[in-house]
Amino acid sequence: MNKKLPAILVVVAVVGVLGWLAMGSVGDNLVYYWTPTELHAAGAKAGEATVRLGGLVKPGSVTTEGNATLFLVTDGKDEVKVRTQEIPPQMFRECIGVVVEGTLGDDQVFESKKLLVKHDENYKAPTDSTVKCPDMPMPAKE
Amino acid sequence: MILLSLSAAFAQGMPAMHTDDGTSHMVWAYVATAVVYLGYTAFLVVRGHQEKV
Amino acid sequence: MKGRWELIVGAVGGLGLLAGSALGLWWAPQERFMLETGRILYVHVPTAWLSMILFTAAFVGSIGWLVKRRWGFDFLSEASVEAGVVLGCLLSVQGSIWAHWTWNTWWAWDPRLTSVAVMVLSFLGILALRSFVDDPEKRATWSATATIVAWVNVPFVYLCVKWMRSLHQGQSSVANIDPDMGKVLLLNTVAVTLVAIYFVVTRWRIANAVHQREFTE
Repeated sequence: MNKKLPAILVVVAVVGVLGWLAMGSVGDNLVYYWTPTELHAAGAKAGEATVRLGGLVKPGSVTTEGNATLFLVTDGKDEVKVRTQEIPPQMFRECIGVVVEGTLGDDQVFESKKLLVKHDENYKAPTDSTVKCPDMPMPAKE
Repeated sequence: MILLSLSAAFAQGMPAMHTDDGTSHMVWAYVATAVVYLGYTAFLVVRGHQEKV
Repeated sequence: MKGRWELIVGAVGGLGLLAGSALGLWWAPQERFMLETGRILYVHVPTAWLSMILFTAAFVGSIGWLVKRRWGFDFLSEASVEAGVVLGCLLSVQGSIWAHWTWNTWWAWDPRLTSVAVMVLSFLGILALRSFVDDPEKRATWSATATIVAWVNVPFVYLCVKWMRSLHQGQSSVANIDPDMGKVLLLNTVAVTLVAIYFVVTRWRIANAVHQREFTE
């Protein structure tokens, strides 16, 4: 044994605790996306900034309007209408998770500048018929 | 088959989105993997030879 | 060549990786939504695992050096950090290619990708630190301290998708992966583990040889 061991353990413990606190506070204050419920709760504030909205593409809600694609993003409790001028990526479909970057307009339609697909951790063969639309695909982790 | 996919991938580069089954993305990822694993192995072989390990 | 058992381990691992990748490309089913890109799973996940395990080996080596002051621990740390950075860079490239097709972006600053970038860059910095310090003892002590600090991020990389909202999906388990895909993934994970053992042992021997040279000159 080395007499430096206690000092090393103290350094490791301090760094560990600091790291833990730092990451914990990041987790509390900085979320990658807002849920529809949170976006609506933010009210007027949300209308000014570019934000990310995450949720599930509501089944039966995908429509087109000229070059634009419209769909509802839901978190199971609330939903937001999203409009995008992008050609949706290949993974885009009903019931899949999406994260859209853009701004909530005065008409309560979220104008998406970038449509990202957030797929889940299921890896299945095409023959797998257990495709289902979960009620809450993206749990609102704090 | 591999050679065909490889040459197709190199000839076309990355395809435009949402028009393909992802073959060339997949091939690029495997090419990158092969380059890194074989490349680092080659580096170790050469360094090991130099240092006479 | 005599006594270099890691050559056999590496050869078995290399053949396993070749066989597993071939099975993944031609035998395993296509993923139902990710189509052909789903096959990136078989090389991406083992690379991710091993980069985190290598950084953890470097962490163990660093504590070993600081406590025992035996050079073998410093060699382990040097070897593991280097191999971990190599796999970490590959991991990011694989993930970026995969994300371009599936997520519709090459990169996103979500918790997983950000913490991986911090992980790879911090250990890259430790490799740079090693090359700047000429005194072997100082080099070992400073890089060991830095490795311990940098390693704190590694569990976070693994767990952040469970704790925080991210674009990256969470960990898969037996329940949500197709059985045939799971077999291929298991084979490649074992194979890459063997390859990583070859990397670290060979790099350890090189570090040892360089060290002997430094002390005899």
